[in-house]
Amino acid sequence: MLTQRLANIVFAILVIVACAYFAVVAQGFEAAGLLASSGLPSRFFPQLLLGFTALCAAVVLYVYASRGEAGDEGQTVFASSAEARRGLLALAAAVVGYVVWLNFGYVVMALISGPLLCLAMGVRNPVIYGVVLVLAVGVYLVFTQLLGTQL
Amino acid sequence: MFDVAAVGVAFANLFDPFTMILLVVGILLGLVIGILPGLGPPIAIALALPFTFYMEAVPSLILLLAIYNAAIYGGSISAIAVGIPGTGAAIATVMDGHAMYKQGRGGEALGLSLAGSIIGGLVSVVCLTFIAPVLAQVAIKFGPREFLAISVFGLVVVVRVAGANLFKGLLVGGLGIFLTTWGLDELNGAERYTFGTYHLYEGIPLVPFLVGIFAVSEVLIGAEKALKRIEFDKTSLTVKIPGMKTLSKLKGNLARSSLLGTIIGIIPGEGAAVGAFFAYSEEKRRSKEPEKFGTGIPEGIVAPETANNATVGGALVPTLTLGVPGSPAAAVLLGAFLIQGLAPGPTLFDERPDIMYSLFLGLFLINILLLFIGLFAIRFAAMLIKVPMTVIVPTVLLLSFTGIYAVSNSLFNVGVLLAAGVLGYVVRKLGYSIAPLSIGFVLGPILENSLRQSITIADGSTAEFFNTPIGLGIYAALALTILWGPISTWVRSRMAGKVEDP
Amino acid sequence: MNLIKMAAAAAVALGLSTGVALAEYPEKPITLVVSFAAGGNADIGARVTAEAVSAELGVPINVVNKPGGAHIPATMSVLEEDADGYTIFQWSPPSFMVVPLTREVPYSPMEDFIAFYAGQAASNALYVRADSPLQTFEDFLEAARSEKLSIGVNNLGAPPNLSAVQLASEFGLEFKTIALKTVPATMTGLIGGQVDVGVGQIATINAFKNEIRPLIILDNNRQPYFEQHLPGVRTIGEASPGKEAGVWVHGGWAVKAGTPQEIVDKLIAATAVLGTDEFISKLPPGIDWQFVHGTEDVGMLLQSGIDLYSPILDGLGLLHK
Repeated sequence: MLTQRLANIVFAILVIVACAYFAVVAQGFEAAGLLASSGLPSRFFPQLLLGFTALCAAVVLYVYASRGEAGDEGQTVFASSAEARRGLLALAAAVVGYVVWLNFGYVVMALISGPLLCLAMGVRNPVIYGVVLVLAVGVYLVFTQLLGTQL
Repeated sequence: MFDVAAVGVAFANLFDPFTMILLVVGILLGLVIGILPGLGPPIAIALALPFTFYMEAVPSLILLLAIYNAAIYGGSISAIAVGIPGTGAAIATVMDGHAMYKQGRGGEALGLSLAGSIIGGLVSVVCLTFIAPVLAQVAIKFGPREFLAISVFGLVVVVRVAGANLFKGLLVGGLGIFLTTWGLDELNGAERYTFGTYHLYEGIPLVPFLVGIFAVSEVLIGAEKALKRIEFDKTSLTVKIPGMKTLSKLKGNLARSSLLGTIIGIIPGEGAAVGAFFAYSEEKRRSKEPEKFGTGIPEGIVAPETANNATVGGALVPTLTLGVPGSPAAAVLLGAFLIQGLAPGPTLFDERPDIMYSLFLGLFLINILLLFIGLFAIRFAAMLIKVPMTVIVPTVLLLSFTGIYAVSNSLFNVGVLLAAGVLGYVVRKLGYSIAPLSIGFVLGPILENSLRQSITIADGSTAEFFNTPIGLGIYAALALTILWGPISTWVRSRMAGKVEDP
Repeated sequence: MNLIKMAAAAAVALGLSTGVALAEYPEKPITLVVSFAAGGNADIGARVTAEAVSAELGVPINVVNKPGGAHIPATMSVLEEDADGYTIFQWSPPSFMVVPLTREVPYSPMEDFIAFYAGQAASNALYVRADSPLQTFEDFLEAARSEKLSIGVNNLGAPPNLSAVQLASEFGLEFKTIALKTVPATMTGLIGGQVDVGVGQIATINAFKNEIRPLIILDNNRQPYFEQHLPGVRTIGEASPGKEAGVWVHGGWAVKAGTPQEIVDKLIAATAVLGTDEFISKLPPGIDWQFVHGTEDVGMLLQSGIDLYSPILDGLGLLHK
């Protein structure tokens, strides 16, 4: 299983890499026009924050890498592989729902995202699928009929 | 100080039948959302936001405030009955509340949390009513240097309470602020991280980001545990409201927690969860028997529950007078003001005192009614708590998607919601707190703009940069909050030493 | 009132579902996109207008504020919707004039939109706090030459900012420019002492009568409302002959190009109510008006703005080419 230690080390490295990337991008910021004398250039504040964030990430990285006091030694990110599967599949189902909305419209998304999430969670009880669909229809009706939202 | 005519208008506004119906509906909705695991006040307000489009200002704000208050209280019901905090604000309540419940004293625990919530809520409304108009007078003097001081204050305080690991808190706080720099630079028009799309010209939108961070990440975490059976015994869900004797025994606790909650609420960015946590640890620290905390004692329920409802009135102080949100939930509430064409700030008090008084009176009424509706609603809580996670997960996700789309008419914002949800999920799984992330995001724009405009005003002079009596006062208060712990420990050790000295 | 408003919204929404195939426009609520933050003059003006037109059309008009991003996200959000008359854009000098003139934008105001109405109008004036030691425009010039004064404007690139830039370049001054989001907020900042001088509109004086004082009108092209709100106050050209000052501040409504002509005609007819005395009597005192109806006249008005600002911006090196 993925340990907190490994996951946090990878995350901290990713944060540092991302900070470096965004800091480089910030070098290219150009003011559109000199309508006001601005005390600091546009890139100053983002770069300041990126430096700060990267520094914190470095400390976190050091704490985990050196097996120091991180407070969660030996713990894993997910309690069990079943939980990991459900969480990650639910995440995938949410993303699929959004992509479906973009391509096929709201109604299709509303109809399939519920059952898809239930599948991701490993639901076997058909009643749950039914209830989820009924609630989805309810959400649709409330927004379109009561609020006049165009979906 | 009080404009009598405006108070009259406020009464008329408030006792409009439609407004009263919304007030009750708001309390019920807030309770439901609060009881459902993981869904807290910011989400509750965000989900209700599209419903306010066709309403006038007063009813829509009353609806949202009722939801805000009731959602905080609702969280304690599931915290006590099943040991799952319904909201972040109820995390501290779980320890003693659930312990008490397991001893078969659930009714007593629920009664204590209801009484504490109401008292905290009422005290903070009174504070709001008296502090806000005064602060509005001072607020007119707030310029970039003062806003800078106040946002620094808010950020430093939140990082200090953001969980065990200081650097993890700082990291996500920094990340939250950084994300607010995306979009066109307001001060000179430069494009920052717009990645070639005009959707990002205004930066990452606030409400989708906050709802994503809180609700979507919670949904994903809920999905992991979806098949766990929730076990609880509903026979002990009969509320026992504490008698005068119990309350008078707890009066010091109630008073301190109410005030602490209000103060935490006033500090920009800090919300109910921080207030509850602070009050709990303060009461534990003061207690003669701190080891009893966590075993199911009334003090451990009253402190966090009083403080978390007290943050509501407090959070509205900077929101209404400065336009700086006092909590993440208040940040969403600020969006509701703007939808109504009201720009919170010092002038709002001069221009629309009637709306202000309607809000104060409304909050008062909400707290009173919450007592009765709360008593009644606890019976239904049993049904809600039994709603399986497998139903909540898809429905809440669909509601967040639809709600965000309805507010902004933008699929891009739904994408932001989802992306923020994934970010929130990842950092939470890695043991980071999302409080600094959300607060950094709320305060980031104020911080950058006020910093840069302060530098423009100072024009190279450090003395001019700090030539702000109000700002210096805020910095001094900040120094005091940081140093208070060490100072009081030192004073205590000296005192203790003296006593022990022969 | 509330109930009626809600009931109307519900009735309209329900009417939709009964399946009336090609019902008369408008059959459902209309959205009005405002590219300014709530509470500012543009927003207040838009809301008053929306209320009056909503009564004419019999459906709610919901104001949606989409501020920031140099007005581009708000403008583009209108173009993303169908050209069916249910999304109206509250155009303003930045979205239809200054921003397209100064930077590359993904739209063309004249080609992608049909502007059919103009209402709000304004000219700018320079204000100080009522108790400021600067009594006259000449005092101001003297002070501004000896030290860098801080000047409050609403947004960078908005007309008050352009007026300030023009003032600075005409008289060779330098300012510390502080953007305070809206004109009322600029005046609040001025009263609170965050800036030394502030650029507001002529009618702004009405909302802050005892707290601020006008120094000069930043527009040489005298309009009837100058004397009405700021009697006896000179324009730049009157105080310093030969110095230029000009603004073009108009705001109104437009729909996406491609909207059927019948719908545009209905909207033009509905906006006729905006010129009536009854409507004018309800207007807030902080806003001035100059009504123009119909696509042709509004088009000419827009062209006059382009003709005014192009040389000014070019002279400042800000014109996008």
